Amino acid sequence: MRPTYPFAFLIILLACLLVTNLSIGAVHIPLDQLIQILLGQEVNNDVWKNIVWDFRMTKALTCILAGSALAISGLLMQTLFRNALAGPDVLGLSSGASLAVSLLILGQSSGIVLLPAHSTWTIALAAGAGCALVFVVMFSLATKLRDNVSLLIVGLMVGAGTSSIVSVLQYSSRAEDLQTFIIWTFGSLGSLNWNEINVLLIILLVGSLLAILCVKSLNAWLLGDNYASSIGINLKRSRVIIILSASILTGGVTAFCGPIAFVGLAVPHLIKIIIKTHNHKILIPAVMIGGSVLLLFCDTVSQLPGEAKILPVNAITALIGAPVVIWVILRNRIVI
Amino acid sequence: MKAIEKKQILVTQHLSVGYENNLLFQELELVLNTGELVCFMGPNGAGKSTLIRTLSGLQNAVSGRISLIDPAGDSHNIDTKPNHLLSVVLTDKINAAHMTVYELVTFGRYPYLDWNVRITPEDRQHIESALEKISITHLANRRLYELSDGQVQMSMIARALAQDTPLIILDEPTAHLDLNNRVEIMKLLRQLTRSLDKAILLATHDLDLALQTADRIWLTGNDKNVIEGIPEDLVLNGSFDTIFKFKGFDLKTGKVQHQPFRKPAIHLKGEGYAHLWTKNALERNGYEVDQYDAGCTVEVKQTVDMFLWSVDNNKASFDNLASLLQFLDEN
Repeated sequence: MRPTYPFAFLIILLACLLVTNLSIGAVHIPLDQLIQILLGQEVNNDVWKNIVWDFRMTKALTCILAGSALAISGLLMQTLFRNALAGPDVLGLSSGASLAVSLLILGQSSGIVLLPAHSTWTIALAAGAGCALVFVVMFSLATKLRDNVSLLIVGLMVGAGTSSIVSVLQYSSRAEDLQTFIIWTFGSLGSLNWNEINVLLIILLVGSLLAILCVKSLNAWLLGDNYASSIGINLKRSRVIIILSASILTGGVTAFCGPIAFVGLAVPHLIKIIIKTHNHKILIPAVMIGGSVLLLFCDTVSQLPGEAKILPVNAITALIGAPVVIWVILRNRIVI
Repeated sequence: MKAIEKKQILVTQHLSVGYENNLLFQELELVLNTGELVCFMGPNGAGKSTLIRTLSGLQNAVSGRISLIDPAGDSHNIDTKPNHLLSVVLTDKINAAHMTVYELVTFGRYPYLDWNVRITPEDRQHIESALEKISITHLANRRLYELSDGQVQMSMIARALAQDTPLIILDEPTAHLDLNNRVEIMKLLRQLTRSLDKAILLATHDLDLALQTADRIWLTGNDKNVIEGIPEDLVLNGSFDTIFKFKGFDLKTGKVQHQPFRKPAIHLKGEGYAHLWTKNALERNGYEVDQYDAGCTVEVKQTVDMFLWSVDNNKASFDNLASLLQFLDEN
C-alpha cells in the first residue's frame, strides 16, 4: 500500500507554488521568460535573471529547506512525546536562540557587548549558540531521565525561564534595538545568500538522515516505551538521536530565519490527514514536502500586498495554519 | 498418547524484585515450562505487575537472575535475543487510533527487521498466520478506534503471536472485558499452549476462569513470596483462602455464602440444572435448603418444554421461580 497519489499531489502542489512564488515580486517578470530563465536558457534581460536567481530563488529555497526541517522536527517531537501539541519549540531551543539574540541586540543598552556588529552571520551565530546551549542541557537530561514527559516539562520550563529574561531585556532597551529584535522574532526568509543556503542544506541533510536512521524506533514509539523496548528498541539511544536530529534542524533554521512558528506543529497533522499511515518511513519524506509547501504558500501570501510591503512570515504561518488545523480536526474528529 | 516433553524456558534464581527501598519479592525460585498456562494471582497492590515487568525485562531486578532458555537451541545457547524468546501483552494504552490491526500486528515482526523496516514475504506470512490463529483475519484492515475492547485485546495477542516467541507474558489481558470475551481469551491462551507448545504466563483477577483453565497457579499475598501449585491443590490446602481472605465466598463450593435467616428450612427435590438454580434462588433469599427434617418440601420437575415447581405435594404449584418465592414469602 504505497501512497503514490498523495505524494504525486504534494509534489505537483510544490511545483506550482514554486513557480507562483518565483513569478511574484516588485518587478514583474512574464511567465514564459521566467520559465526560460529557470531552464537556463538565454534571455535578453540580465536584470531579470539576477532577480530570479539571486533574490527570488534563494528565498524560495529557504522556504523549502526551512519548511522541511521544521516539519521533520515537529514530527519527531510529536512522536517522541506522544503529544499532538508538541512542536520543534518544546525542547526550548528557539527560546534559547531568542535569549542569545536578544542579548546580542538588546544587551548593548545594558552594557553587554557580545559581538561588535549585527549582520546575518552574527545573529545566526548567536542564535545557533543559544540553541546549542539549551541543547546541551536537554541532551544531558535525556541521557539521565527515564521518561519523555519529564523531558517535555523541563523543555517548557527552560522556555518560560528564558522568555522572562528576554522580557527584562526588552523592558530596559532602546526603542530602535527593540524594533530590530522584534523583527527578528517575526522570522525572515529572504535574507539568505547562496553560501548560507548551502549551510542550511547541509543542516537539513544531516538532520533528516539522523531522523531516517530512527524510523524503526519512531514507529515503535507509537506503542509506548514498554512495548517499544519489548520489541528490541534501545530507548535511550534512539531518544538521544531523535533529540540530536530535532535540535540540529530547529537550531539551524532558527539561526538563519529566526523562530518560525507553527509549521512544525501543523504540518505533521495535515500530512496525517492526507496520508493515513503511522510509518515514519513514509511520513518523513511526506512532511518534508508538506513543510515546503506550507512555507512557500505562506511566503507567497506574505507578498500579496504587493510592492515594498512584505508581511512578517510568522504572522502568516499562524494566520493560515491555525484555521486549517481547526477545520481539519473538526472534520476528522480523531487526529492522532 | 505420548506426553509432550516439557522444557524449561524461564528460570529465576534468588530473584528479588521491586525497588531499592521497597522490596516486593524476595528470593524467588520460579520456573515456566513450554506447553503450560500459568495464571499469576494475588490481591491488588501485591506487586504482580512489577514482577511481570521484571520477568519481561522491562525493569531491572534488585538482585538474583532471570534466565531465558531457548527451547529450540542447545542448552548453552545464549546468543538468541531476548525478544526472540519473549513477547508481552501489557496494560499500556495504544495512542494511535488510526493504526490498522494489520499495522499493529506488524510490530510483532520488529525484532526481526533492520533499521529500514523492510517487511519480507516471510514476515507477512507470520503476520497473517497470527491473525488466523486468533481468528481476527476479518479485522485486519479495521482501524483501532473502530474496535471493541475485546477485539483490541485480541489484536494485541496477535501482535505477540507474530513475534513468534516460545514464551508470552500477559498483564491482566482480561481486565475491563465482558464475560464472553474473558472466557474466549482464556480458552484461546490455553489452546495456544496446547497447539503451539507456547509457555504462557498471565496475571489475572478472574479466579473462576483461572481455576478452570490454568495448568499451574502462582499465588502471592503480601509476604514477598510466590506460592506455586496446580489450582485444585491450592484450593484444597487453603492457600487461596489465606491469601484472599474471602469475605463470604466459599471457594470449595465456588459460591457466595448466604446466612439463612428465614424459616422454614426447605427440603428440595429435583435434578440437574433445575435443582441447582432453585437452590441458588432459595439460598439467595435466606432459606436453608436440603434439611431432611425441613418444615417444607419443594419439588422441581422438568416437563418437555417447561419447569414446574410444587410445594408440599402439590399444595401449590408454579411455573416460575419468582412466583414460588412470592408464595413462600407470604406463607
